[in-house]
Amino acid sequence: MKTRLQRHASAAGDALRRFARVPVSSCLAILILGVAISMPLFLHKLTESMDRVVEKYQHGNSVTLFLSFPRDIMEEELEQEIRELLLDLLRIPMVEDIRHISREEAFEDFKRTSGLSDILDDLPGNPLPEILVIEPVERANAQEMQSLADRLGDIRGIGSVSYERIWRDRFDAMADLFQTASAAIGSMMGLGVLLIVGNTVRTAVHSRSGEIRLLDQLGATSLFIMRPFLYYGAVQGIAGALMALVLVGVCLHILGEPVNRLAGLYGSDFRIQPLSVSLGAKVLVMSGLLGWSAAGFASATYIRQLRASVRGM
Amino acid sequence: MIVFRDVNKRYSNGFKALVDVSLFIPGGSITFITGHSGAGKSTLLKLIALSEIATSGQIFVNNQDIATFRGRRISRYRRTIGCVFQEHRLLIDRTVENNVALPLVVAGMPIRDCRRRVRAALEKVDLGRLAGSYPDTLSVGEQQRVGIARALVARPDVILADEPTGNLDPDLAEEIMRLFFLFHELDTTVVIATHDHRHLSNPAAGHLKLDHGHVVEDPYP
Repeated sequence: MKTRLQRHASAAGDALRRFARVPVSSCLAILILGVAISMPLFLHKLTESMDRVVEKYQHGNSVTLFLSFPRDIMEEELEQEIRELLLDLLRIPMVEDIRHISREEAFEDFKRTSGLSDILDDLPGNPLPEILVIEPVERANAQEMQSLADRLGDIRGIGSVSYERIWRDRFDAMADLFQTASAAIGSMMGLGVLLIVGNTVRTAVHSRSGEIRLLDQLGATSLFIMRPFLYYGAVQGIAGALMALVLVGVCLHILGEPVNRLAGLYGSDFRIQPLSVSLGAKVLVMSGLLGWSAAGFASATYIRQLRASVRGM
Repeated sequence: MIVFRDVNKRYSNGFKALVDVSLFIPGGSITFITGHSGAGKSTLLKLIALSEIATSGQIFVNNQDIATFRGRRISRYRRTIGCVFQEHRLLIDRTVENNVALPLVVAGMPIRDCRRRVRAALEKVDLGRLAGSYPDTLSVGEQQRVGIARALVARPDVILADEPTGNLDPDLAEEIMRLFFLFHELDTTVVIATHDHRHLSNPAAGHLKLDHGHVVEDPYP
């Protein structure tokens, strides 16, 4: 066990020494890897930030009911009808809360927000209906909300139901697009890491072909010969991921304040989320594994070709 | 013990390096293989080392048909063979000690045991004082002796040497050959391909002569 650990430590040390021997090309390779990994990572952060906004809209979604009682109904009778309707609606499990907006409140609010108060004052009467705004329970999903809206439309006294999904659908679609793009670019990144590390390791393997031939002749197994290259690939992947985390962290820091200010001006609480420790750890592990795999493939291919050419001569 | 039975080796360019070679080299013997350039000396050693495979025929080393070996079995077999090359093949970025330790490291020996064995091997070739030096600071003769120490450190069953004195002056060549006779006394089978005819007169050694891939002189008929 101790011997095995010593062998791994020696291979890892060899990988680090290899970096130190060619500092310029090693740094360049790490920089290229860092840029390749930072693209999908940045997109992932944007998607994550958008998801939080979409989530908020999903839970804060209300249904507006426009009541259809006759215009000439007595005020006491109207109040009684609305009270009964409220009680009926509150019995529906998905209904969390109901807010009543009277015709007068709605009219005053409309005058204030529309800027058409002069014209509205000239109208012979208040054309707006009584309004009930239903806040659904938090767990209600889009499908349940739609069926609730359909069901409310059939209740006596409710003229029309407004359940505006378009914005939420747009957010959903945009989040889906970001997620798909993130996954696609992430896959390309994976391929990119494999190719970049694979190519660097291939060059390193070729430059040590004499040593590999000697070790093979001395009876080294493929794994023994490959081990330093595997560590070399893993170290490259991890170093590239570290570079990407730094790049994305700096970008998020630079972009954070202007984006937050812009979102604030539009009344949105959209915020770019900072990089989390768990995401950083995942990126490091993934890149390390990709680097390891690429190095394994490149070195195993070379050793196989070398043995075939030597033995088949 | 090494046995060749009707071994042929033909390269992809059509060159026949060995033609119907059948021979027997006893265990614990020292055998010189001579012949002109292209006679098949190096090919014969490479076939024993499993660096190359025969086109046809059988090769037995210690009663094992080595042509049937695959994968890890080849690696295990090679650990029982010590090779000395004309060009020393030392790793210039490792110390003499680490170069000599390679066969032991490959075999998975613990580092503490490695050091002891490496020191003993270096003492045998009188290079103990240069353990911490790098190969490019050594003379050609010293480099060759490091190569020999590397070949013997794992106490192999067979030592193969391809022109081990090719680049050395007569005195140094004599010293190197003395080392090989030392291994032979330790009951190791030693096979040396050489152009140097000065050692053939030693009665302890056998002389196998090749000519255009054929055995023309066999010490153990």
